[in-house]
Amino acid sequence: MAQRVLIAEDESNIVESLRFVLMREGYEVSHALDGAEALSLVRRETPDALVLDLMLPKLSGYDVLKELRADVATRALPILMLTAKGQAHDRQAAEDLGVDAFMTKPFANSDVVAQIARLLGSDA
Amino acid sequence: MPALPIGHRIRARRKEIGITQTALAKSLGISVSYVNLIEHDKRSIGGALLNRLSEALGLETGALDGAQERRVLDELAEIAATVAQGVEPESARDLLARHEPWARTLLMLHRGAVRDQGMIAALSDRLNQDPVLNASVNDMLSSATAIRSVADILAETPDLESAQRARFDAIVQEEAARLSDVTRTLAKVFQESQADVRGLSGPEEVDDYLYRRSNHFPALEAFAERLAIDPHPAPMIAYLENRHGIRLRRIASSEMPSDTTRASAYDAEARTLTIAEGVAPATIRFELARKIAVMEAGDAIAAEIEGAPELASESGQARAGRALAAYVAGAITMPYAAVHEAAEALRYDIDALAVRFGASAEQLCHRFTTLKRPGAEGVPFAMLRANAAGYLTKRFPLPRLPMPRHGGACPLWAVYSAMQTPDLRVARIAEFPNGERFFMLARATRPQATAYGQTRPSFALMLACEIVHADRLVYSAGMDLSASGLADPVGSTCLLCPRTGCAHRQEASIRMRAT
Repeated sequence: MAQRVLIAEDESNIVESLRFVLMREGYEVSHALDGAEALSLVRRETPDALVLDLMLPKLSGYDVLKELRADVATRALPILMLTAKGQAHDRQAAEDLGVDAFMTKPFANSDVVAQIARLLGSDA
Repeated sequence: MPALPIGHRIRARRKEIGITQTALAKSLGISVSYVNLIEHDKRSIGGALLNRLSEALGLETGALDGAQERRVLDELAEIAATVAQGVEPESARDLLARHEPWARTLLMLHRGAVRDQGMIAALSDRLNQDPVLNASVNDMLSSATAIRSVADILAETPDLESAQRARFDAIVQEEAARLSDVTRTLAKVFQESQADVRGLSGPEEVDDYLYRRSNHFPALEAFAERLAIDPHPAPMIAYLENRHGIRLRRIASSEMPSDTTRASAYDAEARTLTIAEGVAPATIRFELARKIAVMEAGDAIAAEIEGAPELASESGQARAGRALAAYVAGAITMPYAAVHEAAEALRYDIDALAVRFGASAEQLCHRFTTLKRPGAEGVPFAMLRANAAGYLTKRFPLPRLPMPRHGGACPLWAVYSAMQTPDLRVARIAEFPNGERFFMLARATRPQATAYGQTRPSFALMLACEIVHADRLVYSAGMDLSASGLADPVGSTCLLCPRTGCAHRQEASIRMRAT
């Protein structure tokens, strides 16, 4: 059965290209356009990994991350955080909140694919 | 207090006009060796000899009073205390006496560094906090991400279905258009921040310029006198309309253009001068006179500014132009001879003179600082204006009363006590650590509201003069001006004040550290 990845990103063109790339790798992909939707989809669909943008409407990526890490059911969900901010303190804040991987925009598709594969243990 | 090092200037001036020490000594009736000692600051001079020396060197009276040196010394001492390491602030005097060009170069570099630090702080604030910049950078990165991701897909997937390929082509075009919009916005933001930053050095340049010129411009006084305009509103309105086709328009202050900080706004295309309703009559007169000055005194003002060494930046020159236009407006509304005569007769009674000339207290105080016509000098006043936060927002210093270039002054100055009693004039005698006494006269005012919800920041104005002139002022009546009279023990700023045990000290003094 295909592994499922949820993309939480408010830029629809980025969603579209990421969806194409991840589906090409055989993942099943769904998406949320804001933080609140991301939280409810994680709980409802229980994806295997989450690609989470930092600057999301309604709830920021940090808030989503905090909630997921505080909940026993989602504490172990592998999360790749995407951000337009590349500053060291942003990365540190995300790591302190328990993010598994961190990438700054603009990124190469192959790097996203490699990170997701690593998080899902499918890169062997 | 050691004598101020003026020897270098005497030497330089003597060489400039091509006379020998022997010739100078002869014309002064002193020995050659004494001239040599004076030129090397081994002897301090004053009184009649100083006047004779100024005359022999073809300098104005007061040119050798050490005021310029005192300003330089204070700044050098500040550099020694705040930037340099292991440099005794007192050694500034030796540096200035022996290597004057180096001392001035150091000052110039220091001012440049302070200005650059301000610029960096302003830009850094802008980069970190500007919402437009933040949003633009975010948009730019998002577009770049989408374009890069889609371009990779298009390059890596030759067998892409045509519908999918068309969709990705559309995304690239859409994001490229967005990227160019964002780039334009960013370019505009940076152009604006450049303009902001360029303005940082302007005020200091104008301060230095007005100080060197003693805030007196004979050519502009003569210009205003030649104009001979009746300085009442109706004739000035008619003058502007007949000579320049400029009409006056009055509107509610809430309707004034939001980018106007002054009481008036000028529309060059429509040739209308707009003044808000409710603006004080004195301000209306002044704004009309200012417009006349701008329209007619442009060449005279440009001639004053041209080649002024202090006005290095475009923003400094523009500011100086505005300052001199206001100077001409003052000379139009308060003609020199009339205001000088009335001021002496009424003993500088600000309220009485304000009524006579239809001027505001601030306009009048400003005018007092310009009364330096040889043979018709007024009381030599320093003037300053402080805002509610204590910062000096206007300053016309006196040679012996230096004023801080940044931030606030000694909290014991009358300008600050006046803030506690708005609308009441506060007159105090202030004694500086070197024993010099000044008469300080201040009042805090709050502009009248002209619309609901308007902010009306209060400010305080202060005039100060050396104590020897205080008996010419109506405000000193009944006060003991003698050396034994009561005086407030003040300083210039904490940094430059050597007083120990002052309850109002905010920071350590460089003078205390030096001893």
